[in-house]
Amino acid sequence: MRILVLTQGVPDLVEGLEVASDGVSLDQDWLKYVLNDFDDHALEEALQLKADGGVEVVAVSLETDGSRDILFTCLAKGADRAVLVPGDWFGTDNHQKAKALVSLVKAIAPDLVLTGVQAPADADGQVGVLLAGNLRWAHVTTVKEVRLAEGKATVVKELEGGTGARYQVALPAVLGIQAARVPPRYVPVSKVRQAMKTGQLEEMEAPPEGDTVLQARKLYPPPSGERAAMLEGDADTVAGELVRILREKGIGRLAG
Amino acid sequence: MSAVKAKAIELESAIVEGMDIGGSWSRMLESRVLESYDFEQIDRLKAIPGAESLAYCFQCAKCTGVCPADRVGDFSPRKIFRRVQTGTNLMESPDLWTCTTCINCTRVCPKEVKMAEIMPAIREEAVLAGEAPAELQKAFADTQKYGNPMGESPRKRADWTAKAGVTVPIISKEKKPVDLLWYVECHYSYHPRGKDAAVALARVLDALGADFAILGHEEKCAGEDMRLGGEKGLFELLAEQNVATLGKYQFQQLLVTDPHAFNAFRHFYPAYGGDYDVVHYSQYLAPKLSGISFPRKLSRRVTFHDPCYLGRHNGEYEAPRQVLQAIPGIQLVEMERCRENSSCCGGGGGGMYLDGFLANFQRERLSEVRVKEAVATGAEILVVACPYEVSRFEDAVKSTGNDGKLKVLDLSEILAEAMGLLDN
Amino acid sequence: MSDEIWVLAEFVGDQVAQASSEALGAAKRSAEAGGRRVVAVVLGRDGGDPALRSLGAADTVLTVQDPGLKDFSPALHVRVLEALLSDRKPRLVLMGNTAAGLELGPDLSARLGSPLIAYCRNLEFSGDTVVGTTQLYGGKLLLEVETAAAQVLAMVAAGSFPAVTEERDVLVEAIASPVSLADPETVFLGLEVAETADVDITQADVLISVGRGIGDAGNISLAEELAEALGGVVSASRPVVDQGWLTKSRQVGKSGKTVKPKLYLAAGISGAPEHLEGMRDADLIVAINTDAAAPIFEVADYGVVGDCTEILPALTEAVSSQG
Ligand SMILES: Cc1cc2nc3c(=O)[nH]c(=O)nc-3n(C[C@H](O)[C@H](O)[C@H](O)COP(=O)(O)OP(=O)(O)OC[C@H]3O[C@@H](n4cnc5c(N)ncnc54)[C@H](O)[C@@H]3O)c2cc1C
Repeated sequence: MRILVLTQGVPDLVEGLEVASDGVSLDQDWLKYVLNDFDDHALEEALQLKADGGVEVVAVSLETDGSRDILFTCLAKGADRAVLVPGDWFGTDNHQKAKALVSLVKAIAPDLVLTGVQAPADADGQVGVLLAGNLRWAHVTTVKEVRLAEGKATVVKELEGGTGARYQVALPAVLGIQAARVPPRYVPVSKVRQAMKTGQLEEMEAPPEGDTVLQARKLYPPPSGERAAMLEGDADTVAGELVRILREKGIGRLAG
Repeated sequence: MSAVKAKAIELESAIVEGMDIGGSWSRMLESRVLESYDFEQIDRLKAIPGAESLAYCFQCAKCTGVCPADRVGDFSPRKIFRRVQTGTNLMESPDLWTCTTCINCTRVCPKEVKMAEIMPAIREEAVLAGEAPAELQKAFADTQKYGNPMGESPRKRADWTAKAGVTVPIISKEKKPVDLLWYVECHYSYHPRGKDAAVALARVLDALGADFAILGHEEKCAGEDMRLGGEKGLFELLAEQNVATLGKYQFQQLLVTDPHAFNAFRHFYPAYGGDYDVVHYSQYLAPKLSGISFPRKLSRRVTFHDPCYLGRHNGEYEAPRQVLQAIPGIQLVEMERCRENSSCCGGGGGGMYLDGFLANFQRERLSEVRVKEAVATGAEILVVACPYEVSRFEDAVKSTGNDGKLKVLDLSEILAEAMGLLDN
Repeated sequence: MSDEIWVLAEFVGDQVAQASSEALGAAKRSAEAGGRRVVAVVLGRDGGDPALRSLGAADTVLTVQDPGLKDFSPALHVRVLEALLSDRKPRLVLMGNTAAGLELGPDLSARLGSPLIAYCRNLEFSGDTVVGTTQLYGGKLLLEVETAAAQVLAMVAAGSFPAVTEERDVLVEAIASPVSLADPETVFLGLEVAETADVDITQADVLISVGRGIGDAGNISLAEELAEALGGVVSASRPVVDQGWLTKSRQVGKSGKTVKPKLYLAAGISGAPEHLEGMRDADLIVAINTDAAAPIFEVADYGVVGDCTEILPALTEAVSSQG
């Protein structure tokens, strides 16, 4: 059984993000790319499946700054192969990425693709499900548990409010991982450096395909105060106001 | 039991590294069978480069008497040895993470069991096996990603300077050599109370007319806790990056605020090509204060906590006291355990990132023990010279119910206060 | 071009889901502005199902009657919707940015070549162009996009549009599945029984977190009651755990857990950096503190200066009365 883990370097949210002078993209000067958190969970789940037995893990990353580090980290964590897809993928939309990946995925021929449920800038949809759509493969996303048996996957999909729904999924399939069954492992730098010395990155071409379908008009920070908006009034007034806000945001039982 | 008396096998006098370890005062006997132990565990540990001296222990228990961790739990180097001797796998034991590397044990150990070398060496194996406590791993991960263990934005590293009220030059913008390159380090850069201390020190440096600059966002964690916590690879990475950064600039002295970083720069950075004239801020300030006139008298009873990594690790006990004594009106009282015998705050050697883990094994935090000692002196202010301590001790003042009785101030803060620099 | 705006409707029990009511709100706004019709699309319910009354905000309802569609199955729902969308070509297809929407939106978009606006916060027609706003980087930035495609899909972010609900007998078109439902690639096996084991605060969507300001152990129940009402769990700052009022597994912060819930309500927590380290990435932070200068207000989205032992019960009351 072969599992392809699709990873992306994404801008680090710890950094203050700034809009570039074109008004529609991020200022890249300050950007630092880190492994998308959810992709880290996807990798961990793949490694857990590998530990269960009989699984080869192939990590794939679309090149951005930092993607070589990301792939060596995947190797250090236990991936069997690491494939870099060269190019400058920053600013490429997810539709283009998904299309480009079709032939690459077919070449690697995995039984299962695991990737993060989402990335921080999925303006046109999450890349995992888009990829499944392009491949005409089955998919389940918001997944928090994966088991493999008899050529099929059984997964638990997390629904609103945290309830899990169990599905049986025919392979090949793409799964969007929300959380691995254990928190992603920390890999000591020594191991990553070791991987950099001894490990190999394969390179496989996959030029972006298709035009951008959503035209960006304006990128801007939401208007917001630095500090909390303070609610005034007696306990009941404040409580009423808070409930209205929570309802609006679809929080917990107030989600409907 | 055999009636034959064991024969002394040690020399009457033997000088090793200038120290007499001869049998006349340390009587080592040839081995006698008292009970046989399985040597598997101890053999495995002593085979780890750096951890050899653990096996030197001959169970005298001097360390147990001075180990701060034994006051709040059940731990000392001797106890580790004993447990390992009786089959404990240290890799799976909380003992591996309890030591703060304060080295009060090494001070009294007749056998030179060196915990500050043993711990990082053995921990490294555990870290490589993915066995480190989650909190510590998080600090590693954040330091790797962001260059600081709190996971704060590297970009905001110099944000504290906005509040300084004096110019804090960033060396990359200075484009000229400076006398002092100030290595601010993480806690002074990001922790709110650390920032207060950094602001105070900036004002003091400015008032003294020092020619100084900081690295700003180019500065990364010096990595000392990572080294001691067993993430040697991360320490090396940071050291290489910091040495490369420092190599770009010209400066006479490296002024270091954090004693942990101070220790790293003095003893470990040279191996990575970083050989600097390193000075702790207390050492820099002490000789500068004779000439200055203080606008006010601070009639306060204060006590001083010797940071392990300034005192025991680097032998500096006087400089911070000289700074305090230069301040008119200050009455310095010492805690029962001070100077060479100073009691660790619990933050070193990775302890900053093991608070939750250790709570499972310790009755109290070391910082709480220390705060009670400080309160017992009747001091109004506990002065510290290490960035971990303001946060640890202020927290401990609250949790021991001493709120309002004891203030915790950084050495730079009390000095700036006396110099009238904190009024705005 | 079709003048239909479709809303892919989801239900909670027999009531339209909040996310779908909001999508209906978005649909109605776009419909009113351009003389278009709103069609609520339902999979797996009978034409006579009384639950369809809760979709009264739509002009008509289209339901695919096959009971095999009642439980959500990504593969089957995509199959049916792909056929319907390519056949009837609605101008705009809206769905919630929900567990189901996240499966349907991108797959349909890829199959049909219709652009998708994910995490949609605003949507309008400008002539024949659809202009939408999507949220990026956890809400740190908004991106306005446009597309002139003949069919546009959008996944509507929670809380972005007013929910519109109306109970009425709405005109229902009930059809059989346009495609075979045989051999589905994804098969729904059932819902997980909620685990009653030890709480995992990192998994909770709602955390009611208490600090030293809660006063004493007895007051913890005030937080528990609110958590119960909201469907969340109670977490705490370190002093509360140190006191033994709650177990260590509930501690948030540097030496506890790092959490990222949808709501983090901090009651009587000052906001020490060691605490903030564990929760500053929560989606929505609400703080209650008697001290208006408490640092927690610097990271909170909403703040209340007040006594948490009064505010918490009032909040529980207000939540419960929402039924
Ligand atoms: C190494 C280390 C690790 C640490 N790890 C953690 C950690 O993981 N998690 C953690 O939380 N802390 C941690 N701490 C402790 C941290 O520094 C703070 O001491 C702690 O977070 C304070 O908790 P608190 O906000 O509940 O209490 P306080 O700081 O005492 O704040 C209580 C707050 O309640 C308010 N208040 C009082 N009465 C009321 C009322 N009736 N209604 C509303 N508000 C009221 C007060 O105004 C005040 O702001 C750590 C400290 C160190 C040094």
